[in-house]
Amino acid sequence: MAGFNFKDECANVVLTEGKNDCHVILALCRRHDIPETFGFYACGSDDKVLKRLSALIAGSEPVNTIGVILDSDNPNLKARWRSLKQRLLKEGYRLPERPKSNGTIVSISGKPTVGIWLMPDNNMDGMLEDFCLDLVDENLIAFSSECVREAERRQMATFIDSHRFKAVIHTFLAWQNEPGMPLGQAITARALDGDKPLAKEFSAFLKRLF
Amino acid sequence: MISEFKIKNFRLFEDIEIRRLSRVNLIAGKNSAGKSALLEAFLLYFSGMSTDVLMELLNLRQEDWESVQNKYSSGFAASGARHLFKDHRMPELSEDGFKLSSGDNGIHIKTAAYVREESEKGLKRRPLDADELDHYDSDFLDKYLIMDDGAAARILFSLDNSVKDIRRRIFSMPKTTTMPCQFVSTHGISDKTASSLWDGISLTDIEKEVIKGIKLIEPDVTGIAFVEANRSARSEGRIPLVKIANINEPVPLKSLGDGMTRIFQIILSLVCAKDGVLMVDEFENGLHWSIQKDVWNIVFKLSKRLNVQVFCSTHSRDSVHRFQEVWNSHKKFGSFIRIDRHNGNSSVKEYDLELLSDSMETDVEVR
Repeated sequence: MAGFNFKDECANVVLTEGKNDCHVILALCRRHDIPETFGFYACGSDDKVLKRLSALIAGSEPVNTIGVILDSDNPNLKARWRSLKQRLLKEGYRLPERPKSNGTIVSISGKPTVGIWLMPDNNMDGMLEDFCLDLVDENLIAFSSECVREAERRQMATFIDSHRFKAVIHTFLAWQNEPGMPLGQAITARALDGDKPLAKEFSAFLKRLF
Repeated sequence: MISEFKIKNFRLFEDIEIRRLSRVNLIAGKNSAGKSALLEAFLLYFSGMSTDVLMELLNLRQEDWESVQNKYSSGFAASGARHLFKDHRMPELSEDGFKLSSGDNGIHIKTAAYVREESEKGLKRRPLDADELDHYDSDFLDKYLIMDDGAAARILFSLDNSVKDIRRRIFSMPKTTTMPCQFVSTHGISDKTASSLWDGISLTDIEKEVIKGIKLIEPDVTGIAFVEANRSARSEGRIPLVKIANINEPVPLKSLGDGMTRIFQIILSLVCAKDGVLMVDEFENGLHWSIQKDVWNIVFKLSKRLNVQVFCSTHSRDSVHRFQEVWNSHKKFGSFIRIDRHNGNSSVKEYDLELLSDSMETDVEVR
Protein backbone atom coordinates (compact mmCIF):
# COMPACT_ATOMS: atom_id res chain seq x y z
CA MET A 1 0.00 0.00 0.00
CA ALA A 2 1.51 3.30 -1.08
CA GLY A 3 0.77 6.48 0.90
CA PHE A 4 -2.39 6.95 2.88
CA ASN A 5 -4.26 9.41 0.76
CA PHE A 6 -6.93 7.87 -1.38
CA LYS A 7 -8.76 10.84 -2.66
CA ASP A 8 -11.24 9.90 -5.25
CA GLU A 9 -11.84 6.28 -5.76
CA CYS A 10 -12.92 5.01 -2.33
CA ALA A 11 -16.56 4.73 -1.39
CA ASN A 12 -15.38 3.64 2.09
CA VAL A 13 -12.76 5.57 3.93
CA VAL A 14 -11.08 5.72 7.34
CA LEU A 15 -10.06 9.21 8.43
CA THR A 16 -7.18 9.45 10.86
CA GLU A 17 -5.10 12.24 12.31
CA GLY A 18 -1.72 10.90 11.20
CA LYS A 19 0.03 8.13 9.33
CA ASN A 20 0.86 6.24 12.55
CA ASP A 21 -2.83 5.62 13.11
CA CYS A 22 -3.14 4.22 9.58
CA HIS A 23 -0.23 1.82 10.14
CA VAL A 24 -1.67 0.56 13.42
CA ILE A 25 -5.13 0.03 11.92
CA LEU A 26 -3.68 -1.67 8.85
CA ALA A 27 -1.60 -4.04 11.03
CA LEU A 28 -4.69 -4.92 13.09
CA CYS A 29 -6.72 -5.55 9.93
CA ARG A 30 -4.10 -8.04 8.73
CA ARG A 31 -3.90 -9.65 12.16
CA HIS A 32 -7.67 -10.21 12.24
CA ASP A 33 -8.28 -10.87 8.54
CA ILE A 34 -10.39 -7.78 7.98
CA PRO A 35 -10.75 -7.34 4.22
CA GLU A 36 -9.41 -4.00 3.05
CA THR A 37 -12.63 -2.70 1.56
CA PHE A 38 -11.78 0.83 2.56
CA GLY A 39 -9.09 3.41 1.97
CA PHE A 40 -7.20 5.50 4.49
CA TYR A 41 -6.88 9.22 4.65
CA ALA A 42 -4.36 10.69 7.06
CA CYS A 43 -5.72 14.19 7.48
CA GLY A 44 -2.76 15.72 9.31
CA SER A 45 -4.52 16.93 12.45
CA ASP A 46 -7.62 16.37 14.58
CA ASP A 47 -9.15 19.59 13.27
CA LYS A 48 -8.69 18.45 9.68
CA VAL A 49 -10.33 15.09 10.42
CA LEU A 50 -13.43 16.96 11.63
CA LYS A 51 -13.44 19.31 8.63
CA ARG A 52 -12.95 16.51 6.15
CA LEU A 53 -15.72 14.50 7.79
CA SER A 54 -18.22 17.34 7.27
CA ALA A 55 -16.96 18.00 3.76
CA LEU A 56 -17.23 14.33 2.71
CA ILE A 57 -20.77 14.00 4.02
CA ALA A 58 -21.79 17.16 2.17
CA GLY A 59 -19.64 16.53 -0.90
CA SER A 60 -20.67 15.59 -4.41
CA GLU A 61 -18.73 12.32 -4.66
CA PRO A 62 -20.64 9.29 -3.37
CA VAL A 63 -19.31 7.87 -0.08
CA ASN A 64 -20.83 4.81 1.61
CA THR A 65 -19.07 4.65 4.92
CA ILE A 66 -16.71 6.92 6.84
CA GLY A 67 -14.68 5.65 9.77
CA VAL A 68 -13.38 8.36 12.07
CA ILE A 69 -10.47 7.55 14.37
CA LEU A 70 -9.63 10.41 16.71
CA ASP A 71 -7.56 10.92 19.83
CA SER A 72 -9.43 11.91 22.98
CA ASP A 73 -7.13 14.76 23.78
CA ASN A 74 -7.01 18.46 22.90
CA PRO A 75 -8.25 18.74 25.59
CA ASN A 76 -10.30 15.62 26.44
CA LEU A 77 -12.86 13.02 25.41
CA LYS A 78 -15.83 15.05 26.57
CA ALA A 79 -14.91 18.08 24.44
CA ARG A 80 -14.03 15.91 21.45
CA TRP A 81 -17.40 14.19 21.61
CA ARG A 82 -19.18 17.52 21.88
CA SER A 83 -17.50 18.90 18.77
CA LEU A 84 -18.28 15.73 16.80
CA LYS A 85 -21.87 15.91 17.97
CA GLN A 86 -22.31 19.51 16.86
CA ARG A 87 -20.71 18.91 13.50
CA LEU A 88 -22.73 15.81 12.69
CA LEU A 89 -25.97 17.40 13.88
CA LYS A 90 -25.54 20.05 11.17
CA GLU A 91 -25.64 17.24 8.62
CA GLY A 92 -28.63 15.61 10.28
CA TYR A 93 -26.95 12.88 12.38
CA ARG A 94 -27.80 12.40 16.05
CA LEU A 95 -25.03 11.03 18.22
CA PRO A 96 -25.79 9.45 21.62
CA GLU A 97 -24.98 11.35 24.82
CA ARG A 98 -21.70 9.49 25.30
CA PRO A 99 -19.59 7.43 22.92
CA LYS A 100 -20.39 3.70 22.92
CA SER A 101 -17.64 1.65 24.52
CA ASN A 102 -17.31 -0.62 21.48
CA GLY A 103 -17.34 2.25 18.98
CA THR A 104 -20.26 4.41 17.85
CA ILE A 105 -21.92 3.84 14.47
CA VAL A 106 -24.66 6.15 13.14
CA SER A 107 -26.49 6.14 9.84
CA ILE A 108 -29.30 8.11 8.23
CA SER A 109 -30.95 7.48 4.92
CA GLY A 110 -29.32 8.95 1.84
CA LYS A 111 -26.09 9.79 3.67
CA PRO A 112 -22.90 7.90 4.49
CA THR A 113 -22.75 5.65 7.56
CA VAL A 114 -20.35 7.15 10.09
CA GLY A 115 -18.38 5.10 12.61
CA ILE A 116 -16.43 6.79 15.40
CA TRP A 117 -13.69 5.37 17.59
CA LEU A 118 -12.14 7.68 20.15
CA MET A 119 -8.64 6.58 21.16
CA PRO A 120 -7.82 4.81 23.30
CA ASP A 121 -11.10 3.08 24.30
CA ASN A 122 -14.06 5.46 23.85
CA ASN A 123 -13.97 6.08 27.56
CA MET A 124 -10.68 7.54 28.80
CA ASP A 125 -8.89 10.67 27.68
CA GLY A 126 -5.85 9.79 25.64
CA MET A 127 -4.44 8.96 22.24
CA LEU A 128 -3.18 6.25 19.92
CA GLU A 129 -0.19 5.51 22.16
CA ASP A 130 -2.47 4.84 25.13
CA PHE A 131 -4.30 2.33 22.95
CA CYS A 132 -0.99 0.63 22.16
CA LEU A 133 -0.04 0.48 25.85
CA ASP A 134 -3.01 -1.84 26.32
CA LEU A 135 -1.40 -4.25 23.85
CA VAL A 136 1.57 -4.84 26.18
CA ASP A 137 1.71 -6.93 29.39
CA GLU A 138 1.38 -4.82 32.52
CA ASN A 139 4.71 -5.77 34.11
CA LEU A 140 6.58 -4.70 30.98
CA ILE A 141 4.80 -1.38 30.96
CA ALA A 142 5.45 -0.91 34.65
CA PHE A 143 9.19 -1.19 34.03
CA SER A 144 9.12 1.16 31.01
CA SER A 145 7.24 3.70 33.11
CA GLU A 146 9.94 3.44 35.79
CA CYS A 147 12.59 4.18 33.18
CA VAL A 148 10.72 7.24 32.01
CA ARG A 149 10.27 8.47 35.59
CA GLU A 150 13.96 7.94 36.23
CA ALA A 151 14.83 10.01 33.15
CA GLU A 152 12.59 12.75 34.50
CA ARG A 153 14.15 12.55 37.95
CA ARG A 154 17.57 13.02 36.42
CA GLN A 155 16.12 15.94 34.39
CA MET A 156 17.02 14.26 31.11
CA ALA A 157 13.42 14.19 29.86
CA THR A 158 11.91 17.07 27.87
CA PHE A 159 8.52 15.67 26.81
CA ILE A 160 5.32 17.52 27.69
CA ASP A 161 3.05 15.96 30.26
CA SER A 162 0.30 14.85 27.88
CA HIS A 163 2.89 12.79 25.98
CA ARG A 164 3.82 10.64 29.01
CA PHE A 165 2.34 7.41 27.58
CA LYS A 166 3.93 8.15 24.23
CA ALA A 167 7.30 8.23 26.01
CA VAL A 168 6.49 5.00 27.84
CA ILE A 169 5.44 3.00 24.77
CA HIS A 170 8.49 4.10 22.78
CA THR A 171 10.75 3.31 25.70
CA PHE A 172 9.30 -0.20 25.67
CA LEU A 173 9.76 -0.48 21.91
CA ALA A 174 13.38 0.65 22.25
CA TRP A 175 14.47 -2.76 23.56
CA GLN A 176 12.35 -5.02 21.39
CA ASN A 177 13.62 -6.82 18.32
CA GLU A 178 13.98 -4.69 16.21
CA PRO A 179 14.63 -1.80 18.58
CA GLY A 180 12.58 1.31 17.95
CA MET A 181 9.97 -0.11 15.58
CA PRO A 182 7.09 2.16 14.68
CA LEU A 183 3.75 1.17 16.24
CA GLY A 184 2.18 -0.54 13.24
CA GLN A 185 5.24 -2.59 12.52
CA ALA A 186 5.43 -3.54 16.20
CA ILE A 187 1.96 -5.12 15.93
CA THR A 188 2.97 -7.09 12.84
CA ALA A 189 6.18 -8.22 14.60
CA ARG A 190 4.06 -9.13 17.65
CA ALA A 191 6.02 -6.87 19.99
CA LEU A 192 2.57 -5.36 20.53
CA ASP A 193 -0.05 -8.03 21.04
CA GLY A 194 -2.89 -7.63 18.56
CA ASP A 195 -4.90 -10.30 20.38
CA LYS A 196 -5.39 -8.29 23.58
CA PRO A 197 -9.08 -7.51 24.32
CA LEU A 198 -8.90 -3.82 23.29
CA ALA A 199 -7.33 -4.70 19.92
CA LYS A 200 -10.05 -7.30 19.34
CA GLU A 201 -12.75 -4.81 20.31
CA PHE A 202 -11.36 -2.28 17.81
CA SER A 203 -11.15 -4.89 15.04
CA ALA A 204 -14.73 -5.93 15.74
CA PHE A 205 -15.75 -2.27 15.38
CA LEU A 206 -14.13 -2.11 11.93
CA LYS A 207 -15.83 -5.36 10.89
CA ARG A 208 -19.23 -4.04 11.95
CA LEU A 209 -18.63 -0.75 10.19
CA PHE A 210 -17.43 -1.96 6.78
CA MET B 1 -34.46 40.18 -2.49
CA ILE B 2 -35.68 36.66 -1.89
CA SER B 3 -34.28 34.30 0.74
CA GLU B 4 -36.06 31.12 -0.33
CA PHE B 5 -37.37 29.64 -3.53
CA LYS B 6 -39.59 26.73 -4.51
CA ILE B 7 -39.96 25.09 -7.89
CA LYS B 8 -42.60 22.58 -8.89
CA ASN B 9 -42.87 20.75 -12.18
CA PHE B 10 -40.50 23.05 -14.05
CA ARG B 11 -38.12 21.51 -16.62
CA LEU B 12 -36.38 18.58 -14.88
CA PHE B 13 -37.45 19.65 -11.38
CA GLU B 14 -40.37 17.86 -9.86
CA ASP B 15 -40.26 19.62 -6.54
CA ILE B 16 -37.27 21.40 -5.04
CA GLU B 17 -36.82 24.02 -2.37
CA ILE B 18 -33.90 26.30 -1.55
CA ARG B 19 -33.99 27.80 1.93
CA ARG B 20 -30.79 29.74 2.07
CA LEU B 21 -30.53 32.44 -0.57
CA SER B 22 -28.56 35.60 -0.06
CA ARG B 23 -27.23 38.64 -1.90
CA VAL B 24 -24.74 36.74 -4.08
CA ASN B 25 -25.58 33.11 -4.78
CA LEU B 26 -23.37 30.51 -6.43
CA ILE B 27 -24.82 27.29 -7.81
CA ALA B 28 -22.79 24.19 -8.65
CA GLY B 29 -23.73 20.76 -9.93
CA LYS B 30 -22.79 18.16 -12.50
CA ASN B 31 -23.76 18.43 -16.16
CA SER B 32 -27.52 18.19 -16.66
CA ALA B 33 -28.14 18.52 -12.91
CA GLY B 34 -30.25 21.58 -13.62
CA LYS B 35 -28.06 24.62 -12.93
CA SER B 36 -29.20 26.49 -16.03
CA ALA B 37 -32.80 25.40 -15.45
CA LEU B 38 -32.60 26.92 -11.98
CA LEU B 39 -31.30 30.22 -13.38
CA GLU B 40 -34.12 30.14 -15.92
CA ALA B 41 -36.67 29.59 -13.16
CA PHE B 42 -35.32 32.64 -11.32
CA LEU B 43 -35.39 34.68 -14.50
CA LEU B 44 -39.00 33.78 -15.32
CA TYR B 45 -40.05 34.34 -11.72
CA PHE B 46 -38.43 37.75 -11.37
CA SER B 47 -39.49 38.94 -14.82
CA GLY B 48 -43.08 37.87 -14.12
CA MET B 49 -42.99 35.50 -17.12
CA SER B 50 -42.04 38.30 -19.46
CA THR B 51 -42.60 37.07 -23.00
CA ASP B 52 -39.32 38.42 -24.32
CA VAL B 53 -37.38 36.68 -21.54
CA LEU B 54 -39.27 33.50 -22.28
CA MET B 55 -38.52 33.66 -25.99
CA GLU B 56 -34.86 34.38 -25.32
CA LEU B 57 -34.60 31.32 -23.09
CA LEU B 58 -36.28 29.05 -25.60
CA ASN B 59 -34.07 30.47 -28.31
CA LEU B 60 -30.91 29.81 -26.31
CA ARG B 61 -31.87 26.15 -26.02
CA GLN B 62 -33.12 26.10 -29.60
CA GLU B 63 -36.50 25.06 -28.29
CA ASP B 64 -38.21 27.55 -30.55
CA TRP B 65 -37.42 25.13 -33.35
CA GLU B 66 -40.53 24.18 -35.34
CA SER B 67 -40.53 20.87 -37.08
CA VAL B 68 -42.37 20.68 -40.38
CA GLN B 69 -44.80 18.29 -38.80
CA ASN B 70 -45.65 20.56 -35.91
CA LYS B 71 -45.91 23.67 -38.01
CA TYR B 72 -49.19 22.68 -39.57
CA SER B 73 -50.70 20.58 -36.86
CA SER B 74 -50.52 23.01 -34.00
CA GLY B 75 -49.03 26.23 -32.75
CA PHE B 76 -46.41 27.29 -30.29
CA ALA B 77 -47.55 24.82 -27.64
CA ALA B 78 -46.26 21.83 -29.50
CA SER B 79 -42.95 23.35 -30.45
CA GLY B 80 -41.76 25.65 -27.72
CA ALA B 81 -43.16 26.36 -24.31
CA ARG B 82 -43.94 22.72 -23.55
CA HIS B 83 -40.22 22.26 -22.82
CA LEU B 84 -40.60 24.40 -19.72
CA PHE B 85 -42.85 21.77 -18.16
CA LYS B 86 -41.66 18.57 -16.55
CA ASP B 87 -41.21 15.82 -19.16
CA HIS B 88 -41.54 18.39 -21.96
CA ARG B 89 -45.30 18.04 -21.89
CA MET B 90 -47.81 20.89 -22.00
CA PRO B 91 -50.30 20.30 -19.16
CA GLU B 92 -53.90 19.43 -19.97
CA LEU B 93 -56.53 22.07 -19.32
CA SER B 94 -57.45 20.83 -15.86
CA GLU B 95 -53.90 19.90 -14.81
CA ASP B 96 -51.45 21.87 -12.69
CA GLY B 97 -48.66 23.48 -14.66
CA PHE B 98 -45.39 24.64 -13.17
CA LYS B 99 -45.10 26.76 -10.06
CA LEU B 100 -42.35 29.13 -8.98
CA SER B 101 -42.64 30.72 -5.57
CA SER B 102 -40.84 32.47 -2.75
CA GLY B 103 -42.65 32.71 0.58
CA ASP B 104 -46.17 33.97 -0.03
CA ASN B 105 -45.46 35.15 -3.55
CA GLY B 106 -45.68 32.77 -6.42
CA ILE B 107 -46.73 32.21 -9.99
CA HIS B 108 -48.51 29.25 -11.48
CA ILE B 109 -48.17 28.75 -15.23
CA LYS B 110 -50.85 26.54 -16.76
CA THR B 111 -53.17 26.18 -19.68
CA ALA B 112 -56.69 27.55 -19.65
CA ALA B 113 -59.66 27.63 -22.01
CA TYR B 114 -61.76 30.69 -22.70
CA VAL B 115 -65.05 31.15 -24.46
CA ARG B 116 -66.30 34.27 -26.17
CA GLU B 117 -69.66 35.38 -24.90
CA GLU B 118 -72.00 38.17 -25.77
CA SER B 119 -72.30 40.80 -23.07
CA GLU B 120 -73.57 44.35 -22.84
CA LYS B 121 -70.12 45.59 -23.81
CA GLY B 122 -69.87 43.28 -26.79
CA LEU B 123 -67.98 40.03 -27.22
CA LYS B 124 -66.08 39.12 -24.06
CA ARG B 125 -63.58 36.40 -23.21
CA ARG B 126 -64.42 34.37 -20.15
CA PRO B 127 -62.27 31.63 -18.60
CA LEU B 128 -63.95 28.25 -18.20
CA ASP B 129 -64.02 26.35 -14.91
CA ALA B 130 -62.93 22.75 -14.83
CA ASP B 131 -66.49 21.42 -14.63
CA GLU B 132 -67.62 23.55 -17.56
CA LEU B 133 -65.04 22.01 -19.88
CA ASP B 134 -67.16 18.95 -20.60
CA HIS B 135 -69.92 21.06 -22.09
CA TYR B 136 -67.74 22.42 -24.85
CA ASP B 137 -66.11 20.82 -27.84
CA SER B 138 -62.46 21.34 -27.12
CA ASP B 139 -61.73 22.08 -30.79
CA PHE B 140 -63.82 25.22 -30.56
CA LEU B 141 -62.24 26.61 -27.43
CA ASP B 142 -59.56 29.27 -27.36
CA LYS B 143 -56.65 27.81 -25.41
CA TYR B 144 -54.04 29.91 -23.73
CA LEU B 145 -50.99 29.67 -21.57
CA ILE B 146 -51.78 31.74 -18.49
CA MET B 147 -50.03 32.96 -15.40
CA ASP B 148 -51.87 32.93 -12.11
CA ASP B 149 -50.18 34.88 -9.32
CA GLY B 150 -52.83 34.11 -6.72
CA ALA B 151 -54.57 37.45 -7.14
CA ALA B 152 -55.35 37.33 -10.84
CA ALA B 153 -54.78 35.30 -13.98
CA ARG B 154 -53.07 36.87 -16.97
CA ILE B 155 -53.01 35.44 -20.47
CA LEU B 156 -49.45 34.96 -21.73
CA PHE B 157 -50.29 33.85 -25.26
CA SER B 158 -52.60 31.68 -27.29
CA LEU B 159 -51.51 28.09 -27.72
CA ASP B 160 -52.44 28.42 -31.37
CA ASN B 161 -49.85 31.12 -31.91
CA SER B 162 -46.76 30.19 -33.83
CA VAL B 163 -43.33 31.26 -32.68
CA LYS B 164 -43.43 33.89 -35.39
CA ASP B 165 -46.73 35.32 -34.10
CA ILE B 166 -45.26 35.61 -30.64
CA ARG B 167 -42.04 37.21 -31.82
CA ARG B 168 -44.08 39.75 -33.76
CA ARG B 169 -46.16 40.46 -30.67
CA ILE B 170 -43.09 41.10 -28.53
CA PHE B 171 -42.09 43.98 -30.74
CA SER B 172 -45.47 45.62 -30.48
CA MET B 173 -45.89 45.06 -26.76
CA PRO B 174 -44.58 47.19 -23.93
CA LYS B 175 -41.95 45.39 -21.83
CA THR B 176 -43.73 43.46 -19.12
CA THR B 177 -40.75 42.86 -16.88
CA THR B 178 -41.52 43.89 -13.33
CA MET B 179 -37.93 44.61 -12.29
CA PRO B 180 -34.56 44.83 -14.02
CA CYS B 181 -33.47 41.29 -14.90
CA GLN B 182 -30.13 40.82 -16.60
CA PHE B 183 -29.00 37.47 -17.90
CA VAL B 184 -25.47 36.67 -19.03
CA SER B 185 -25.56 33.26 -20.69
CA THR B 186 -22.60 30.90 -21.04
CA HIS B 187 -21.76 32.70 -24.29
CA GLY B 188 -22.32 36.16 -22.87
CA ILE B 189 -24.66 38.80 -24.19
CA SER B 190 -25.02 40.07 -27.76
CA ASP B 191 -23.34 43.28 -28.91
CA LYS B 192 -26.81 44.63 -29.51
CA THR B 193 -27.85 44.05 -25.90
CA ALA B 194 -24.51 45.33 -24.62
CA SER B 195 -24.73 48.51 -26.66
CA SER B 196 -28.24 49.28 -25.46
CA LEU B 197 -27.20 48.64 -21.84
CA TRP B 198 -24.18 50.86 -22.36
CA ASP B 199 -26.36 53.67 -23.66
CA GLY B 200 -28.18 53.60 -20.34
CA ILE B 201 -25.08 54.20 -18.24
CA SER B 202 -22.73 56.02 -20.60
CA LEU B 203 -21.31 59.24 -19.10
CA THR B 204 -22.78 58.43 -15.66
CA ASP B 205 -20.81 57.68 -12.50
CA ILE B 206 -21.66 54.03 -12.85
CA GLU B 207 -19.71 53.88 -16.13
CA LYS B 208 -16.55 54.21 -14.05
CA GLU B 209 -17.35 50.94 -12.27
CA VAL B 210 -17.39 49.07 -15.56
CA ILE B 211 -14.07 50.58 -16.60
CA LYS B 212 -12.63 49.74 -13.16
CA GLY B 213 -13.67 46.15 -13.83
CA ILE B 214 -11.92 45.75 -17.14
CA LYS B 215 -8.84 47.42 -15.66
CA LEU B 216 -8.40 44.20 -13.67
CA ILE B 217 -7.07 42.72 -16.90
CA GLU B 218 -5.82 45.77 -18.79
CA PRO B 219 -4.86 48.52 -16.33
CA ASP B 220 -4.20 51.04 -19.13
CA VAL B 221 -7.81 51.18 -20.36
CA THR B 222 -9.11 54.73 -20.09
CA GLY B 223 -12.49 54.59 -21.84
CA ILE B 224 -15.09 52.59 -23.77
CA ALA B 225 -17.37 53.54 -26.65
CA PHE B 226 -19.81 51.70 -28.90
CA VAL B 227 -19.52 52.49 -32.62
CA GLU B 228 -21.00 51.19 -35.88
CA ALA B 229 -19.09 48.09 -36.82
CA ASN B 230 -18.92 48.86 -40.51
CA ARG B 231 -19.96 52.27 -41.69
CA SER B 232 -19.85 51.55 -45.40
CA ALA B 233 -21.69 48.23 -45.57
CA ARG B 234 -25.12 47.36 -44.24
CA SER B 235 -25.19 48.12 -40.54
CA GLU B 236 -24.26 45.16 -38.37
CA GLY B 237 -24.89 47.07 -35.18
CA ARG B 238 -22.47 48.67 -32.80
CA ILE B 239 -19.45 47.05 -31.23
CA PRO B 240 -17.45 48.04 -28.14
CA LEU B 241 -14.09 49.78 -28.59
CA VAL B 242 -11.66 50.61 -25.83
CA LYS B 243 -9.13 53.37 -25.51
CA ILE B 244 -5.82 52.29 -24.05
CA ALA B 245 -3.31 54.84 -22.78
CA ASN B 246 -0.29 55.21 -25.07
CA ILE B 247 -2.08 53.64 -28.05
CA ASN B 248 -3.46 56.24 -30.43
CA GLU B 249 -6.21 54.26 -32.15
CA PRO B 250 -9.03 52.67 -30.12
CA VAL B 251 -9.07 48.85 -30.31
CA PRO B 252 -12.03 46.47 -30.37
CA LEU B 253 -12.76 45.14 -26.87
CA LYS B 254 -13.01 41.62 -28.23
CA SER B 255 -9.49 41.83 -29.64
CA LEU B 256 -8.27 41.98 -26.04
CA GLY B 257 -9.48 38.46 -25.29
CA ASP B 258 -12.37 36.49 -23.85
CA GLY B 259 -11.67 37.43 -20.24
CA MET B 260 -11.91 41.12 -21.04
CA THR B 261 -15.25 40.65 -22.81
CA ARG B 262 -16.61 38.46 -20.00
CA ILE B 263 -15.74 40.93 -17.24
CA PHE B 264 -17.16 43.79 -19.29
CA GLN B 265 -20.44 41.97 -19.90
CA ILE B 266 -20.83 40.75 -16.30
CA ILE B 267 -20.19 44.13 -14.72
CA LEU B 268 -22.18 46.03 -17.34
CA SER B 269 -25.14 43.69 -16.74
CA LEU B 270 -24.70 44.02 -12.99
CA VAL B 271 -24.79 47.81 -12.92
CA CYS B 272 -27.79 47.77 -15.26
CA ALA B 273 -29.67 45.49 -12.84
CA LYS B 274 -29.99 48.13 -10.11
CA ASP B 275 -32.77 47.14 -7.66
CA GLY B 276 -33.23 43.96 -9.66
CA VAL B 277 -31.50 40.68 -10.38
CA LEU B 278 -28.52 39.39 -12.33
CA MET B 279 -28.01 35.81 -13.54
CA VAL B 280 -24.68 34.60 -14.86
CA ASP B 281 -24.48 31.10 -16.35
CA GLU B 282 -20.98 29.61 -15.97
CA PHE B 283 -19.48 32.63 -14.28
CA GLU B 284 -15.89 31.54 -14.88
CA ASN B 285 -16.07 31.36 -18.68
CA GLY B 286 -13.02 33.09 -20.11
CA LEU B 287 -11.77 34.19 -16.70
CA HIS B 288 -8.33 33.06 -15.54
CA TRP B 289 -8.38 31.85 -11.93
CA SER B 290 -5.95 34.56 -10.84
CA ILE B 291 -8.44 37.37 -11.42
CA GLN B 292 -11.59 35.57 -10.31
CA LYS B 293 -11.19 36.73 -6.72
CA ASP B 294 -11.09 40.35 -7.86
CA VAL B 295 -14.15 39.84 -10.03
CA TRP B 296 -16.10 38.26 -7.14
CA ASN B 297 -15.03 41.16 -4.98
CA ILE B 298 -16.50 43.63 -7.43
CA VAL B 299 -19.68 41.54 -7.72
CA PHE B 300 -20.17 41.45 -3.93
CA LYS B 301 -19.47 45.17 -3.50
CA LEU B 302 -21.54 46.44 -6.41
CA SER B 303 -24.47 44.14 -5.73
CA LYS B 304 -24.66 45.48 -2.19
CA ARG B 305 -24.37 49.08 -3.31
CA LEU B 306 -26.88 48.81 -6.15
CA ASN B 307 -29.27 46.41 -4.40
CA VAL B 308 -28.92 43.64 -6.97
CA GLN B 309 -29.50 39.98 -6.13
CA VAL B 310 -27.02 37.86 -8.04
CA PHE B 311 -27.35 34.19 -9.09
CA CYS B 312 -24.40 32.51 -10.79
CA SER B 313 -23.68 28.97 -11.85
CA THR B 314 -20.25 27.42 -12.12
CA HIS B 315 -18.35 24.27 -13.06
CA SER B 316 -15.04 25.48 -11.78
CA ARG B 317 -13.48 24.62 -8.45
CA ASP B 318 -11.25 27.70 -8.74
CA SER B 319 -14.32 29.81 -9.08
CA VAL B 320 -15.93 28.22 -6.00
CA HIS B 321 -12.71 28.65 -4.05
CA ARG B 322 -12.32 32.34 -4.95
CA PHE B 323 -16.00 32.86 -4.21
CA GLN B 324 -15.53 31.31 -0.77
CA GLU B 325 -12.58 33.58 -0.02
CA VAL B 326 -14.56 36.68 -0.92
CA TRP B 327 -17.69 35.42 0.87
CA ASN B 328 -15.52 35.16 3.96
CA SER B 329 -15.07 38.92 3.95
CA HIS B 330 -18.77 39.58 3.25
CA LYS B 331 -20.10 36.96 5.66
CA LYS B 332 -23.82 37.73 5.53
CA PHE B 333 -23.98 38.23 1.81
CA GLY B 334 -23.20 34.91 0.15
CA SER B 335 -24.68 31.49 -0.32
CA PHE B 336 -23.50 28.35 -2.07
CA ILE B 337 -25.68 25.47 -3.17
CA ARG B 338 -25.23 22.33 -5.25
CA ILE B 339 -27.95 20.69 -7.28
CA ASP B 340 -27.74 16.90 -7.17
CA ARG B 341 -29.55 14.46 -9.35
CA HIS B 342 -30.03 10.84 -8.29
CA ASN B 343 -32.28 8.36 -10.06
CA GLY B 344 -34.16 11.09 -11.83
CA ASN B 345 -34.77 13.12 -8.68
CA SER B 346 -33.24 16.51 -8.00
CA SER B 347 -32.21 17.70 -4.59
CA VAL B 348 -30.42 20.73 -3.24
CA LYS B 349 -27.44 20.72 -0.89
CA GLU B 350 -26.95 24.01 0.91
CA TYR B 351 -23.54 24.96 2.28
CA ASP B 352 -22.90 27.51 4.97
CA LEU B 353 -19.62 29.42 4.91
CA GLU B 354 -17.95 27.09 7.43
CA LEU B 355 -18.83 23.95 5.49
CA LEU B 356 -17.64 25.43 2.21
CA SER B 357 -14.40 26.62 3.83
CA ASP B 358 -13.83 23.16 5.34
CA SER B 359 -14.44 21.54 1.96
CA MET B 360 -11.99 23.86 0.24
CA GLU B 361 -9.38 23.41 2.96
CA THR B 362 -9.60 19.61 2.92
CA ASP B 363 -9.85 19.47 -0.87
CA VAL B 364 -13.15 17.58 -0.97
CA GLU B 365 -15.27 17.87 -4.10
CA VAL B 366 -18.24 20.24 -3.79
CA ARG B 367 -19.31 20.45 -7.42
